[in-house]
Amino acid sequence: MSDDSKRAPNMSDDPTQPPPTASECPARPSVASDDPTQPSVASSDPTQPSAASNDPTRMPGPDETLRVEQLSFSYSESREILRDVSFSMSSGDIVSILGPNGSGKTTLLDCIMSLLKPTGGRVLLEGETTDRMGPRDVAQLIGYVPQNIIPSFDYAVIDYVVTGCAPHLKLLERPGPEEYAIADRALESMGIAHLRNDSYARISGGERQQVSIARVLAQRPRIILLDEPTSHLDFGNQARVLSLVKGMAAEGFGIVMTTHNPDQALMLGGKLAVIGRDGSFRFGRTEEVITEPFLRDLYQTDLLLVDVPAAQRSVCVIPKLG
Amino acid sequence: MLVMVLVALCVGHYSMDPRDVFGVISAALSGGEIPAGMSNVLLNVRLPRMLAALIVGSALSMSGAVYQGVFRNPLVSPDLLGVSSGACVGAAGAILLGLGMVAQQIMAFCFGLLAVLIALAIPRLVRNSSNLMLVLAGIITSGFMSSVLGVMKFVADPDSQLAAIVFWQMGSLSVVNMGEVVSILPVYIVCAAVMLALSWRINILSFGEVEARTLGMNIKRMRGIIIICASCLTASSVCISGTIGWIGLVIPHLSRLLVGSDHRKMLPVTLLLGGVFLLIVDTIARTFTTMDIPLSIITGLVGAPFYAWLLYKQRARSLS
Repeated sequence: MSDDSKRAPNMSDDPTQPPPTASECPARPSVASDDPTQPSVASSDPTQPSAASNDPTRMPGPDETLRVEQLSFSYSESREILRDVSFSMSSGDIVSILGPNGSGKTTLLDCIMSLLKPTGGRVLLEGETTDRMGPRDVAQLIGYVPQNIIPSFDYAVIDYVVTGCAPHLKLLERPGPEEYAIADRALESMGIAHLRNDSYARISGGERQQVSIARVLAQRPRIILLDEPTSHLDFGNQARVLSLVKGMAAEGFGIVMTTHNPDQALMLGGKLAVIGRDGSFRFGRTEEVITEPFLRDLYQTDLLLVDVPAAQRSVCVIPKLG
Repeated sequence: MLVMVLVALCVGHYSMDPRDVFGVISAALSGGEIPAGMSNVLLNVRLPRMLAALIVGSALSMSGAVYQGVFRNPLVSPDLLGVSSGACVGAAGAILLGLGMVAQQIMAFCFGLLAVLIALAIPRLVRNSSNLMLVLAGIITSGFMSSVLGVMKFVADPDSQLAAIVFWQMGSLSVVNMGEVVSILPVYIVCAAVMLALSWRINILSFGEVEARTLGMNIKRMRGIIIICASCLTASSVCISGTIGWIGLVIPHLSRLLVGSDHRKMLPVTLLLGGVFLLIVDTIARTFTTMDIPLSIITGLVGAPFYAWLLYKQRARSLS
C-alpha cells in the first residue's frame, strides 16, 4: 500500500480538469493495432505526456493495456453470445462498442472485467491473463461506470466516491483522510465539488453519472469501462458526459464504452467494436467501419450518414418514420 | 442508556431505591457485606436479565441492519434465511424430547445456523449465486422449517409441551441466568466486532453485486462471512430469549433516520438503540402486570405502529 500513499499527492498536480470542448483534446495517434493477430507493441509512444514519468498509475505506459484474444461466451451450448472476439487497445484509446439490443455488449464488458468467465479465449490486462488475477487485482486496473441506478440506501456523494478507493485498501482497512482527499480531488476535477455532502439518491441523473465517473477516477485504474453512460440523460448531459469521456482518454485512460447511438461513436472517433445480430465481431477505425450500408444492416432500418460541415463529421440520422 | 439501565435495575415487584442499587453493586464489587434479600433479586435476577436484554436487543437489530444492507432491501428482517424458524424447530424438538434448558438452547442455536447453512447451500446446488436466489432459498428453508414446527406442535402434548413451544416462540427473558449470558457473550463479541470492522465493506455490498465486484470485492466470500456472523448473532440471542419479532426490522430504520445509511455510523447506533429498546420492552414486560408478558407481544404492539410512523416520516422527508 505504500506506493498508493506516494501516488495520492500527485493527483493534485494532474491536469484532471477535463477539457470543455472536444477540440482541446489532442488527437492521439493510436498505438494499438487494428489487427489483433499482430504482436504487442512495446515501443515507446512519443506523444505520451511527460507527466507520465512521475505517476505510473495515472499515466499508463504505451504498451497494450487490454488485449482480448478469441473470446467466446455462451450461457448454454445452443446459443453463443460472443464468438471469436479479438481486439487490443492502449492507454488513451477510445473503443466504442456498438450492437443491437441483446447482441452481447454488456456481456463483453462483463467478460473483460472477469465478472463472467469466458467459455473460450482469454483477456489480458497489461500482458497478464485475467483468469489468474483476483478480483482486487482486476479492480486496480479496470474501473467500471455502471448504468445510472439509484441505490437502495442513500449515501452522501463523497462517501459514494470514496468507495472507488476500495481496491487499494486491505480487507479491514477503511478510507482515511488520504482516501477522502483523493475522492475530493476527483469531485473537483469533475467540477462537482459543491455536491460533496448531498445525498446520492437525490441529485439529478446527469449529476449522478458525473459522480459515478468521479468514483472511477478515485479508483485510479488504467482502463475505464462505461456501460451506456448517456442512457437516461438529456441532450446537454449527454454532451457533458461524452466530453468527460474524451477528456479521460486524453489523460491516458483507456476507454471502452458501449452505446446505442452510432453518432456518439463518430463524435468520439477512435476505434469501433461491433457485435452483430448473428454474433459476428468486427473491429476497426470508427470512421472506416461506419458506413450507410453497414448501419442499415446492423440496425435493420433505413438510416442516412450525412456530412455536416459545421460539426466537421458525418452524422447518422433516421430519414423519416414509417 | 445508563438511565434506562438504572431504571431497569430499580423497578419490579420488589422495587428498590437507586441508592440501594449502587450500594449493592459497590459492595459486590469490593467484596464487602451484602444485604442478602436485595442482592439476590438484583444480582441473580435483574442484572442477568438486564444484560440479556441489552445483548439480545442489540444483536437482533444489528443482524437485521446487516441483512438489510447485504440484501439491499430495507424490508428484510434477520429471519430472512430461516434462522428463527430453524431455532424454533430446534427448541421445539428439545421440548418434545423432554430435554433440559441447556440442551434446548444448544439445539435452538444449532438448528438456527443449520437453517442458514441450508439456505446458503441451495444457490450452490443450482449454481446461481445471485441475491434473489438466496432470498428464495431463505423462503424455502423458512417454509420447510415452519412445517416441521407445525408437525411438532401437532404431536406435542397440548397441556405442557405445546404451551412451552408457543411460549418460546413469543420470546421471554424471564428465565435467563448469568451463566447463559456469559455463554453467549463470546459469540456476541466476536460477531459484533467482525460486523463493525467490515461496516464499510457492507456499504459497498449494498451497491449491488456487480458494483461490489468491480470495486474488487470477492462478494461470495464477503457475503458469506457477513451472513454467517449475522446469523450467529441472531441464533445466539434467540436461543436464550426465544424468537422476538420486529426489533431487527424497526431499529435499523430508526438509526438510519437518525444518522443516515452509512453503515460505519449506523451499525454502532443500531447496536445501542437495539439494546436500549429491548431493555425498555423487557422492563415493561415484567412490571406492567404481575405475570411476565411475552416480549414479541410488546415489540409487535409497539413496533408495528412505530414502523408505520417511521415510513411516514421517511416519506415526508423524501418529499421535502
